[in-house]
Amino acid sequence: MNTMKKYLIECGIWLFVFGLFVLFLRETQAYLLFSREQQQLFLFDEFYLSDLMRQVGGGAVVMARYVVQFFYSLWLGPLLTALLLVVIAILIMKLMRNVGASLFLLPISLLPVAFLAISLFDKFFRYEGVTAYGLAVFALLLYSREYKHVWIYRGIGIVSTIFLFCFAGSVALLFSVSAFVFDLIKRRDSLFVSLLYPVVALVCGGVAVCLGSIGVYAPAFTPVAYYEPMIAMPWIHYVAWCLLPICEVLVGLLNLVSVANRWLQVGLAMMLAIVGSYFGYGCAKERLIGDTQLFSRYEYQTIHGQWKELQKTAYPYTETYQGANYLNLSLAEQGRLVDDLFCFSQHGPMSLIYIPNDKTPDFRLAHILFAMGNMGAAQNVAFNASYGMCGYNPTMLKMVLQIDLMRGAYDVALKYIELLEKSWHYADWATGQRKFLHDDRAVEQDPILGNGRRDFPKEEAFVLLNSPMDDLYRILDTNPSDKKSMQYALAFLLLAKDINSVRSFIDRYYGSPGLKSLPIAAQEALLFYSDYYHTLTEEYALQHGMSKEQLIDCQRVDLDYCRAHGVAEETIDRFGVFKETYGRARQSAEALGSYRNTFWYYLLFAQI
Amino acid sequence: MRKNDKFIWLLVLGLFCMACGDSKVTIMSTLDETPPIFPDYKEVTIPYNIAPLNFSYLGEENCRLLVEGAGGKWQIEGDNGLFAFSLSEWKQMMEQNKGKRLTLTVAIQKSNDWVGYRPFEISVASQPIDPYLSYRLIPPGYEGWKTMGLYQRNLETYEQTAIYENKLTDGNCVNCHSFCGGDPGKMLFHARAGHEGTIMIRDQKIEKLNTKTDATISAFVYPYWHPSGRYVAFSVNQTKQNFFNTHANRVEVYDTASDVVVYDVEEYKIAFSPLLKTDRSFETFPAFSPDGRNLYFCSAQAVDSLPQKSKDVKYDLCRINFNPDDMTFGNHVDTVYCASKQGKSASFPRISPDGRFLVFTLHAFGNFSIWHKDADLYRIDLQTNQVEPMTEANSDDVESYHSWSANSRWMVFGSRRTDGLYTQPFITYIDEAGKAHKPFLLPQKNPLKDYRRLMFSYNIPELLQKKVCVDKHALVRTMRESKGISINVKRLD
Repeated sequence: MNTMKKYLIECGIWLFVFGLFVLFLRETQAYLLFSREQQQLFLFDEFYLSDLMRQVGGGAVVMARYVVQFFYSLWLGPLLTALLLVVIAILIMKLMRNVGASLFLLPISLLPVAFLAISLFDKFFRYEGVTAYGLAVFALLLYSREYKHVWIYRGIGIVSTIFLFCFAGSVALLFSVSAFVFDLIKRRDSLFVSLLYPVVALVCGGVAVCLGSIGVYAPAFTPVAYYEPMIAMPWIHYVAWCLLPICEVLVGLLNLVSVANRWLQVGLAMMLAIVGSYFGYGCAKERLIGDTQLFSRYEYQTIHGQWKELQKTAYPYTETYQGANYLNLSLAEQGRLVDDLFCFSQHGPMSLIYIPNDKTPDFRLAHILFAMGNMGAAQNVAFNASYGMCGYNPTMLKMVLQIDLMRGAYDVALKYIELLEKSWHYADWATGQRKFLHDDRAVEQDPILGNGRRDFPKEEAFVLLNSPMDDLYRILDTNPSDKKSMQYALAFLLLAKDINSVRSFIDRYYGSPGLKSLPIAAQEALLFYSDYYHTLTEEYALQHGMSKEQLIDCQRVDLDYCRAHGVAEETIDRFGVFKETYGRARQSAEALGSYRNTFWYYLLFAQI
Repeated sequence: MRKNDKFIWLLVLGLFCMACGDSKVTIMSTLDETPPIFPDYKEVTIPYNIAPLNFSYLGEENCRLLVEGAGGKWQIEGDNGLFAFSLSEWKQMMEQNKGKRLTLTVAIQKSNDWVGYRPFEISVASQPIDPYLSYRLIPPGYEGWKTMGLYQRNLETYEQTAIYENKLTDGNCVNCHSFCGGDPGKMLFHARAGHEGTIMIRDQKIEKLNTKTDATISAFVYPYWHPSGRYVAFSVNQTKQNFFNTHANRVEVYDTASDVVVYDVEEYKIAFSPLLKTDRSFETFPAFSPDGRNLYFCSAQAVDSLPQKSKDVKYDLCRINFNPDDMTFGNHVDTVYCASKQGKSASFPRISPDGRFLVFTLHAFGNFSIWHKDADLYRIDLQTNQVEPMTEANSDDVESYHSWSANSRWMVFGSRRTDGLYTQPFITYIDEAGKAHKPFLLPQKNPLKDYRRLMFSYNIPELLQKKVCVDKHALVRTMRESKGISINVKRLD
C-alpha cells in the first residue's frame, strides 16, 4: 500500500469516526451541550480573559469557554465537540504510534476519548476537562517524539509539566505520569529522571495549595479540578485519565503480538474500544444522564419559543411538577392555557407554578413568573439564576435586563447591555436594547417591555409571600389587558378547585381587555357553581357557616347570569347531559371517562 | 557613518523628539459650563496619599486636561476621553499641593481650536487617609452568588489583592469582615452556606468559632471590635428578606428578632445585658465608643406580622455603659437619637476615633439601609448632641455602610448613586467641624470602564492601617477541617 493510499484510508477512517461522534452527540447530548452554553457568557474583554488566565488552569478554561459559546445551535455543539474529540483521538493515536503501535491499533486511541464524551453527559463535568486533556495529550505527543539530544525531551518534560499546571491545571500530573510510562516502555534510560515529572507536578500542586490559589489537594492533582465544587465527582470521570497511561501499556503489550497477527491486534483493539465504550455508556446512562437531557430540552425549547415542541416534550411528564409547569407554560404562551388546561393531567396549582423552598437558581421559575407578569419576582429569580456554573447565564441576564428596562432602571440596564455586547452571540440583541435606554415611550410601545411595565402593580406588596394568586390579583388590577396573567390567574383558581373565587374573578374581570370571552373550563366552573348553590338548602348552608345573604348572593349566579358572563348554550346543554350521566354513573370516574377533559371531571376526581 | 545614514538617524531622532515633545495646547475660548466627566471629581477634597484620580471626559471630541497648582502646570492628553495621570507625576503633584487646591480645565478640540470648559478645583487635604481599604465584592442581590470574596485595595495605587475568595471553600458565603480599629492583625469574618463558622484571626492565629449558643437566637452576625481587641460586640439576628413587586427599593431585609451580645476573644465567652436582649425590642448594629466604655446599638420596638408591617419597624440609636475590666454593662439604656420620633429609622452607628462625632444612616424604616433609596448619612456631634445630615456626602440614592479613618478626617461609605444598584465606595473628607466635603469615588485606572464592567457591589468598605497578610492555606484548612470552638455564656452574678 503506498503512502498516499494509506493516508487517504486514515483520513477516511477519521472522517467516519468524526461522523459517528457527531451523530452520537447530536442524538444524546445536543440539548446538554446547549445547556452548557447557557451556563456561561464568553466575553471578548481583556479583564474577563485576564481574570480567567490568572487562575490555575485558566488557559484551558478560556479555550473551553471560547468553544462552548457556539453551542447555542443544536448542531454546532455536537460538531465542535466531535471535532475536538477526534483531534484528541488523532493526537492519542500519534502518541500510540510513537509508543510503537501500528495503524491497526487505532481503535485503542478512541477509548480515552469515548470516556471523555461520556464524561460530558454529566452537566457538572466542565468542558475544560476536555480542553485540558487535549493539551496534555498534545504535550505528551511533543514529548514522545524522537530528539537528537536527551536534554531536549527532558526539557520538554519539565517545561510542559509546569506550563500545563499553570495553563491547564491538574492534567499536569496526568501528563507527567504518562510521560514516565512512555519512558518506561520506550526510552528506559535514566528512568529515575523521568520520575522527576510527577514530582514537579506534585510540587506545583503543593505550592498552589500552600499559596491559597487552590483550596485543597484533590483539584490540584485530579479531574476534580474540572468538576463543580460541592458535588462529589463520580468515579467514571477518572477513567479517561487512567486510560491514557493504560493505553500506552496496552499498546506496549499488544506490540508483543507478532506482526503476522495484525488482525489479532485489530480484533483486540476493537474489542477493547467497543467493550470499554459500551460499559462506559452504560454507567453514564445509569449515573449521569438522568433527567438532565430532558431539562436541557425544556430549557432550549423555552428559550427559542418553541411552544408546540415544548408541549410535546413535556406531555409525557405531567406527573412531575417540572413537566406540568413547562407544559402549562407552553399552553400559556400559545394563548390556550385555560382552554386546554384539562386536556392534560393536572394536579393542583403546583402544576402551574411549583416554587421550591430552597434558593436554587431556577430557570423554569423565572420564565413562568415572567409569563405571569410577576416581574418583581421574576427579576429576583432570574438574577439568582443568572449566575451560571461557569459565568453568567445569558438568557437570565437578558431577562434581568429587560425587567430593568421595564422598571426604568436604565443605568443598570446599560451595564448589562455593555456586558452582553462583549459576547459574540448576544451582542446584536443587546445593542438592539439600547434604543430603549432613557426612552420611556419606546419601552411602553414595545410589546414585551410595555406590557411588562404595565404589569408592575400599583399596590405595593411583597411578592410570593403567600400564594402566587395574591400577586396575580395585583397585576391584573393594574393591567387587566395582560392575557397571559389573566390565563394564569384563572387557571390557578380552576386548578385549586376554588369555585367561589372563580365566580368572584369572573365578576371582576369578565369583559376586561384580557378576558373578553370566557374559556370553556371557566364556563364549566361557573355552571357548576350555579348548580351547586341552587341545589344547596338554606338549612344546610346555615349549618356550614353561610349566612342567608351569602347564599342569596351565590344564588344570583343563575343561567341568565351565566349567559351574561360568556357561558355558551352548548356548555349549558353539555352540563345538563353531564349531570344526568353523573347521576347514572353513581360517581364512577370510569363511567365519566368522556368528560375527562372538563373542569367537572377534574373537580370531582382529580387528586391535588 | 555615511551621510545618508546620519540624515536618517537625525530624522528619526527628530521625529522621536516631536512625538515625545511637549505639544501643549492653548485655550482659545471658554465654555460657561463644567465638563461632563466620570467620575464626578469636580470640587472634591482628596487626601494627598490617594492614587491618581484618573477620569473620563464623556464627550466625543479630542480632549486635554490642563492642571494648575503649586509646582507648575501639567497637561494630559485624553485617550478616548480618559485622562490618566502617571503615578510618579501624580505623587509629585500631591506633595507640592498638600493643603492647597489644584485647578483642572478640560479642553476640547473644536475645528482647529481648543475650547476650555469652566475649570474646577480639587482640594488636596494635608491629612492622609489610611492606606488600605477592605471590602467584600458580591452580586447586588438577592440570594444567589457564584463567586465572592474579601479584598483589599491599596489606596495609594490601584492594586487590589484577595484576602479570601470563596472558590477556596466550595463557593460558600463569606461575610461581615471586621477589623479592630483598622488593625489587619485582628480580623474576623463569618462563613455561611458551607464550612460554617466565625473565623477569628489574631496575630496570625486562626480560629474557627461555633457561635450559636442555647442562650442566643442565632450565630453571631454584625460585629464591632472593642478598641482593646479583647472583646467583640455582635448582634444575633433572625434575618429574612422579601422582594417588592414594584417598590424602587426592590428588596427588604428585616429581622424578626435580634439581640446584642459581647464576646470575649480570650475566654471564648459571651456576656449580655438583659437590656440588650429583650423580646419587646430588636437590638442590632453594636458599636463601641473609642474609649471602650460605651456600647452603642440600634433598637426598635418589636413588631409582629413581618414583613407586612416592616414599615412600622423604626430603630433608635441607643447606648449602654460597658465596663471592659469585668465585662459588665450599665443598668440603663440611653437613647442617643430617637429616630422613631421623626418617623425614621437609624442604623450603623460609627463613632470617629477621636470620639467627637457619631455618623449613622437614616432612612424611613427597617435596618438594612443598603436597600433603601432614601438612606442618607447623618452626624451627631457628641459634644453638643446636635444631629445634622451630611448633605455634601449624600445623594438621591442609597448611602449606607461607612467607616472612619484612624485620624477621623476621612470616611468611606457605600453609595448606589452611580447606577442605582451596584454599591460603590465613596470617600469624603470630614473637617474639624464635622462637615462632610463632596465625596469622590474610589479611583481606578480607568474608572468608566472598570466600574461599568464590574458586576459586583462593594460591600462593607473598611479602612485599614496596613495590608492584611493572612496565610490563606491555614485559613482554608481551618475553615474546612476545624470542627470549631464552641463558645460559652458568661454567667452574671
